[in-house]
Amino acid sequence: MEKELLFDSATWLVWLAPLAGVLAAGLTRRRDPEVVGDKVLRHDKAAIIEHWTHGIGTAVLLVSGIALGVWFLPSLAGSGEPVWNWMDVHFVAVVVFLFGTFYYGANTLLAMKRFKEHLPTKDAIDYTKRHYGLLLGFKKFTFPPERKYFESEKMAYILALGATSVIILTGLLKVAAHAIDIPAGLMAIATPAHDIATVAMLAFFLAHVFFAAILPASWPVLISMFTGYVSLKHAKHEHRGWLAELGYEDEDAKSDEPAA
Amino acid sequence: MADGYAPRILKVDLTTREVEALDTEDYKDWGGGVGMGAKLFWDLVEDKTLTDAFDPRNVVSIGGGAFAGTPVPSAARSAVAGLGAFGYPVNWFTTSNFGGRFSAMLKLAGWQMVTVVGKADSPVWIDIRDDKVEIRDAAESGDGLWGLDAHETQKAIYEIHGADGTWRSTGASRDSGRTTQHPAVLTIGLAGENMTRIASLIHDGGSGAGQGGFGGVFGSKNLKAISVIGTGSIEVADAAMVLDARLWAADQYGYQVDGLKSFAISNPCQVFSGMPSASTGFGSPARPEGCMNCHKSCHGVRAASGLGNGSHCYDTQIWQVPEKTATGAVTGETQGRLADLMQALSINALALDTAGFWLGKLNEKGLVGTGKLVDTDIFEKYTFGTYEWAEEMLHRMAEKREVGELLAEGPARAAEKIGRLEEDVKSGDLPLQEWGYPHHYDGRTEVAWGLGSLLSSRDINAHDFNWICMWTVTLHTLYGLPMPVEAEEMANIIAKKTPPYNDPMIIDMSDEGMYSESMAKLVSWHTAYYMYYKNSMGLCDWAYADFVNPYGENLEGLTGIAEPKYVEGVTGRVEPLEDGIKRGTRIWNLMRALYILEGRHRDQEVYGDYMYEVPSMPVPGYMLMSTPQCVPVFENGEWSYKMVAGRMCDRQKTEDWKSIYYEFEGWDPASGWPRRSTLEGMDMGFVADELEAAGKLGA
Amino acid sequence: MADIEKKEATGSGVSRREFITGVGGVGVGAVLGGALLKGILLPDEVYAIPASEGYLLVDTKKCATCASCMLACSTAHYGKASLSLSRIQVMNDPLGLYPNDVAQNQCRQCPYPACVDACPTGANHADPETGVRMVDEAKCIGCERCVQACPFTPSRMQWNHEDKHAQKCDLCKDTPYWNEEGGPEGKQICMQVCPHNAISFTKDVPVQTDAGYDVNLRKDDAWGQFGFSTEDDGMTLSGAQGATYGGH
Repeated sequence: MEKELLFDSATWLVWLAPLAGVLAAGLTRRRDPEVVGDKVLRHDKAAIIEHWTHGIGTAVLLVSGIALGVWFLPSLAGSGEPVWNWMDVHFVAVVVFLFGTFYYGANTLLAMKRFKEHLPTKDAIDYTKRHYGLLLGFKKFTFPPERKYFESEKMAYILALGATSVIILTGLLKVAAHAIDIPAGLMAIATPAHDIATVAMLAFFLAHVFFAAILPASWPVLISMFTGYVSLKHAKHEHRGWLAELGYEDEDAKSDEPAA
Repeated sequence: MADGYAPRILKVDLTTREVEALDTEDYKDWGGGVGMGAKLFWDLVEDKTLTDAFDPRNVVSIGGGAFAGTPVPSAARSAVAGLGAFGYPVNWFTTSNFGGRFSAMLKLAGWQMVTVVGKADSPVWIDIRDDKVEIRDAAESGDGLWGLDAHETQKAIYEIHGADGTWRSTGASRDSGRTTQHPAVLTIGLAGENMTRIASLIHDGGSGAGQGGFGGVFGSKNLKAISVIGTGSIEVADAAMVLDARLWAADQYGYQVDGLKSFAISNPCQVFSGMPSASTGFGSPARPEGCMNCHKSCHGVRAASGLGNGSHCYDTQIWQVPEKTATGAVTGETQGRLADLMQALSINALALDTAGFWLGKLNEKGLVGTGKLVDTDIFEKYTFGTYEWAEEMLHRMAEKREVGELLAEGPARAAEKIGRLEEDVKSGDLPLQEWGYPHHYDGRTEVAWGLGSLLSSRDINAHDFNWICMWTVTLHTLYGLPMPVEAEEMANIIAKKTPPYNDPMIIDMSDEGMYSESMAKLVSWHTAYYMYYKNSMGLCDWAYADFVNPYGENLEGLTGIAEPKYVEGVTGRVEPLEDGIKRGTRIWNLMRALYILEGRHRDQEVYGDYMYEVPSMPVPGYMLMSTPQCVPVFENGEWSYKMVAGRMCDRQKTEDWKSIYYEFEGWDPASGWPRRSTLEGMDMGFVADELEAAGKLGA
Repeated sequence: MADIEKKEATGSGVSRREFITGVGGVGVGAVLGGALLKGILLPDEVYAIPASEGYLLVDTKKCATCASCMLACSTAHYGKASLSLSRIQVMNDPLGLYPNDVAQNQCRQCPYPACVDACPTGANHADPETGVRMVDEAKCIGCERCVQACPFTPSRMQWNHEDKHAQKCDLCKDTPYWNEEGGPEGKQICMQVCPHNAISFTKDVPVQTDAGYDVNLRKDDAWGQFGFSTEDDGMTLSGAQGATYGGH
């Protein structure tokens, strides 16, 4: 007998998760970034929850999605039970991911400045050139006064935003197709779009993990994704623009005008 | 590219045990099968003076054409090409052919051809599963195939694959290929393992590449079998056109089981419109067995008794005359069991037929017996004509034991060894028409068969003009039945269907016509047609060429209309028949170049002496010379069908004809070698260069 | 301040936070309530699948294993010839004995289609017009529950490993590469291409046994003239259609 997929027996969880995320956002009190002694509060508890639910959800979705096989790549799993098990794993990750993403989305709606600070500015190309030119060893560049998020990260955010939106929209369509009759023409677009967005998401994910977790320069920030804090020293070097926004005046700082 | 071809050619080097993928794109001009096999031989054999088929440097290629595995009807033949061990006095480059499922399955695995070079240092078999190719141990230490007969080997391989008719996957992923099919296996029995010259390659129950001696070549390479399972697909240029062509051909020209039409005698006169027959079911409930994608299923039957499973035609008939003579009756039991045994041991049926006939003749002269010229006890211990005699002889040949040691060399070498070759070939007691091959169809009567074989490297076994011009005419004459068409009409129909010559005189097989330029056109056209469409593209000799057809409008068959449709639908190429003929001529010239580098000269292209000395008459006991033959002739300004039994070939006139033919093909009549201009005109300057370097370019 | 509690000018005096919380709360309640209702109060769904208007019948004692049906099926549906992608599978043991050396495995368009029942997305469905059990490829998610659900061996549902979707015989209702109309009112290419008429078509629901689908098609044409038996000779197929084979 073929076992019933969680996508069928527990479909309601897929619809519950985003709404629960929204509810949770309504009930969440946020704490803004601030300098505290020799540390800077970068991520409050809400941010940490958003990040890890969305992130771990994404990771497991990518692994299970690729195991199941995308439109243009064969499945890694064998027929029958293995495929059903991976679909169930995908389901669990969907629930976690939707909760986290909608929690983030609703939180952001409640504080649009948090959205704005994720978007690239007019300094995007210039700052990125200086930042990575220096990292690659070209001494002629000086480290730009990056804000809370590096300009390069903000550009990548656009990719992640786009990919996530397509994945969620098409993914919800695919889940809906388990319960109601969705026209085949729509599904013929939804599945390839889901798979293409997966590749975009994978690209973002790999770059993000490399730059945020593997590159030694980023380890202080990695730690902040657990504790919430980065050291002031790190912030002075890497995020001078951000400190300025927070109103911090550094006596040792060179005079370099950060953007408002 | 969606053109019916598989993208790669599998090259297996048994010496180094390395596997390489060649690009099919480099060989597509040659059609497939024999054409590709000849070009592969040309490319992979450095020293083309090689004439020992058992030398590890011999390169054997097997595969089909663009049509195999597509809906084109009767088009999945598999060809074998390389030096053949049977040829006498030289192991010329030659070819063989078999039906069934192999070439289609090979393409479904992604391989257009499989080419084997070198020699393994211990018995091996090649296991092809889609793109995974493994050279496996066939000996006792491994899969234990060496020593098994051809059927047992296949069963063992089916078991290794777990082929039981249910879905099985060829990999671990949900998206791995999957199949319900048994692998297609080409294998040898004991006669091949022991490197006899008379061994065949066997596939399934009764498909076989009988002539040429390739079974022994496999044995010489320590190669027991090639197995292939393919789960992929073959893309064609215009699928709708291919399906339409298939349905059009089968519905308009193929047999209609619910609306039969036939000549007064249908078998073997009807080609594309031929019907399945239970004749080889030997009285047991049965159904036909059809080769891949065929619309006729004439191939053989599967009977409840299991006798003669899948065997067919000649393999199930050779012992009929001896059995009738010895016992008074022909039994299905004998014919079926014998066919099975021949396939199991992988022995060419003609070897038994000719051996039996010739030894019988020598026996009448008192030359056979213990201590005699042919030192054997087989006539003493067994009654000739019984199943037991044949069974014992087959075993002795396969094992090279007692008289089998002599006969395993093939009839020509056997006769030469005991000093009987010249005399017996001259008298016709040992009717070897050309190159040591047993007499099949007659150069004295239907002419083109003999001449084509003479210029080639073996008995051509291409029935295009044989079914209609000889068999149809002969059988309807002998039984006093109305001809499907009269001679003039036959000539006109055939003329229409044989561009670019369109010459009705090509089927004039009169005493004059035999040696005419029209006969040169016939041989040229015939060779080109079967080399390209059949030996290379894969159309079956039992369905094409189709000239006269009871279902056709004005009784015209589908040759000329069908072949271009198939080519266009599958490959996308618009190729009228005359362009296909050009391709065939090109392949033919490449093969000629190989013969020439192997030492060929016109002086060797001479029939066995009996052809010039003995009138063509029914020969009691020799199945293939059992009827007087009637053919179309143009005499005294008109066409008719005439019995030409009693005719011989004129030695000088045959030589003169050869000159006409060589000139016609653009070859030097002094030698039979192609001229540079001819070769360059076909984009074969590279062949001219190599012939020139060997001092063998036509002047 | 970290907290945003400004009252927005929504007119109703509801802040953005209150709005968000409300949406989330109502949504959660609705989903949970709906799930509860569905689980407890609603009856089980009643399935009413229309019967197919057409069925393929075969005669295994006539089939010559030429695989024309298989190659034509895949070509008509996909434009490429393949044995693995054919929706009718002819199993052939070349060294076997008649009649158990061959099995023609056509889809039976079951009155109760377990494969349709098993499909979570309705990709495998009964066509509303004709009842033909067929797969809407765009909707297939690749779970292969249908392949497992088919009660016959080999499964009449196949996984198309090249194009990544489940497939099954649709009585040629959807053959983009064939110029004829298919479906129960039209033609089926396997039947058209079979040289010996070993495949036929009926609109009547066959008797739901092996013998209902593997019938004698040898009596009404020239078959007997070729010397083949037109009777069933008291021979019944033994296990060729599935019982003794392992796997699925």
